[in-house]
Amino acid sequence: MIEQQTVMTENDMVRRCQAGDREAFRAVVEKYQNILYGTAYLMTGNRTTAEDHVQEAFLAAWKNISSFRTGYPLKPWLVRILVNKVISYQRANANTMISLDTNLAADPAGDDPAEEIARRDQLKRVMQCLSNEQRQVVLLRYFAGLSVAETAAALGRRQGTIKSQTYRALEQLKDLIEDDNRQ
Amino acid sequence: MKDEKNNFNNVEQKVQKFFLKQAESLKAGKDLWSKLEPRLDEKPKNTEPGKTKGRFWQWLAGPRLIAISSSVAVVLILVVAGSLWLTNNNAANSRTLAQSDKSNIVWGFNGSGGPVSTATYPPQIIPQTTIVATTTTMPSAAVLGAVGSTSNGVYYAAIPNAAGKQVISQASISLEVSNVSTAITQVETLAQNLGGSVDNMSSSGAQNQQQANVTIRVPANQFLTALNQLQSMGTVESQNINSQDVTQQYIDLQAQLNSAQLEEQSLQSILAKATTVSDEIAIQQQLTQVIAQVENLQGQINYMQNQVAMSTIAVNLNTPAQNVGQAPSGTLSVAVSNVDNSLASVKQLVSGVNGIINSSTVSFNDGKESAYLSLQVYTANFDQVMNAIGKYGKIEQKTIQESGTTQSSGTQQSNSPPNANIYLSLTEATGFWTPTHITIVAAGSAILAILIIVLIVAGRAGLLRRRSA
Repeated sequence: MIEQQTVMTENDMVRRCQAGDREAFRAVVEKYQNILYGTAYLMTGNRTTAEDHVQEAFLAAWKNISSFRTGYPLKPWLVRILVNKVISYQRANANTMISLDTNLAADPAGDDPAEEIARRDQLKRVMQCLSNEQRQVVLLRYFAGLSVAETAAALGRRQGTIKSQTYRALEQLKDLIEDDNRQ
Repeated sequence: MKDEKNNFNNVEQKVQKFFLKQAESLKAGKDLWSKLEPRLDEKPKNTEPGKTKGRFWQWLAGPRLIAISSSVAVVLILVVAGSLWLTNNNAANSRTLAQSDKSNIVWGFNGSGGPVSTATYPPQIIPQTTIVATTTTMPSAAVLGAVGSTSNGVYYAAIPNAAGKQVISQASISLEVSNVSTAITQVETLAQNLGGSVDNMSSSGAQNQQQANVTIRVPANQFLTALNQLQSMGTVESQNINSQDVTQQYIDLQAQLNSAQLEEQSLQSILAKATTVSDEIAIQQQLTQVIAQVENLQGQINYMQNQVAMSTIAVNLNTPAQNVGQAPSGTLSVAVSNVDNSLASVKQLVSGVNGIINSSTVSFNDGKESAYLSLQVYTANFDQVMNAIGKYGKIEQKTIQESGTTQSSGTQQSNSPPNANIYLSLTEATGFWTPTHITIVAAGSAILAILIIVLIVAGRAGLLRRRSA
């Protein structure tokens, strides 16, 4: 029932956006900005670039909202736009490798510096043990929360490919995360 | 199996949990909307992929572009290579002829006066017979003369000397000059200037009907120069060039000479060791034979070397007065659907009017068959033969040189040969699509089609799929 209400709300938001309602779009931005930002950040490892990508993705969404079919979830569409932006950028800059280590080091520490450093360290190790393609799949599946089909559509791969890549990624992460838990 | 699934689910949950934890600390700046809002009216720098006119170029980009351009490149390379191959093949055919042995020479000898075809026909040895240019039109009488007949009935083919080969080049040329005496002097001067000499000279006839035969010898490398200069001295009535490849004979002679010389040396040493007179006499007799053999072989080699080094050109000079009343002559070029059948018909036709086929050659160029014939018919049958042959196909060129009066030999008499010359060219009436061209284009298209299919299959299999919407 709650889910239905959410969809309804989202549909309304979309319709209003399609009618040019900026406030409705603001609601969309506020709702999804964190998920998009996190995804972009984990793909690029750079806060500034991630923010730029998020802005570009939202702008593209605003320009193309009229082509969006109401009734479908908005998040996969937005993530798809964002992923396209990031991948295009990475291709154009021939920089597909994440550089979390250097970028994270420059991040301001949180409330608990020790915990923050541990978190970054773990994130760095998790990201580094995955290939670029696996990393994209894992991010979209477990960070952005997309389904296999949505991930496949966003990355332009077959669902079977996404499944096998997910499986292999999890196989690799298994030991790492268990190790982390032991720590 | 169940454990494995549970494990997988466990890991999945752990990873989800891990990322949820990350999400807590990964939040966009609070001023995102304030930055974004002023930009909502901007025109987009890049429209969303897959939704605009850029779709085709996006589809094309990457591996597809490489595959398509590679396919086009392969086809282009095939076409260019095919064309080059064709060109080289034609050139190679000409070269082969240039180096060919006399037995492969197209134009033959007809001494008996009967209808004879001495040509390289059937076409098994065609690759060595491509002598005439690939043009489909009949060469003019003067040009045709370069591979045509002489008044003494000897026919030759054109061959320049080839490097590394022992080739004897000979030519005969019949020239119509205004003044035979002056022309004789010119020929002599020409021979001397080119480092050659006059081998033989004879002249006959009165001032206005004088005729002369001059045989000159020029260095082989000046052979074609001499011919060119001779051609410019008057009107060429006929011209024949012949070369004979004697490389094999030369090598054989050289081997025999070496062998004989070794035998001679051996006998000399045996002779020196001979103790009895009878032995000496026997060895001496053998030695005499061997020495004679050595000298004979050496003589042959010297002669051959001389023949190879110096080319012989027989020049026949006569005045225009001689030509008064000569029989008509004509050149005819006909495009026919089947050269072999037409050739057989021509032979039958000429034979039917007691004419002579001096020579006939069939050549293949670029898969296109051509036949060149030199005929002689009686003047009375000249028009009939020309018209009949003209009906075999499409006449591409027809030239008739009529005479003012008709000589007695123009009528059919048992004791005089036919004297009206017809130079006939039969070419296969085909367009651009020769078998070679068809093969090249078909192969290129097939490769292109295969590549496109592979591309499509690869695309469907997801191998080339772009990671875009």
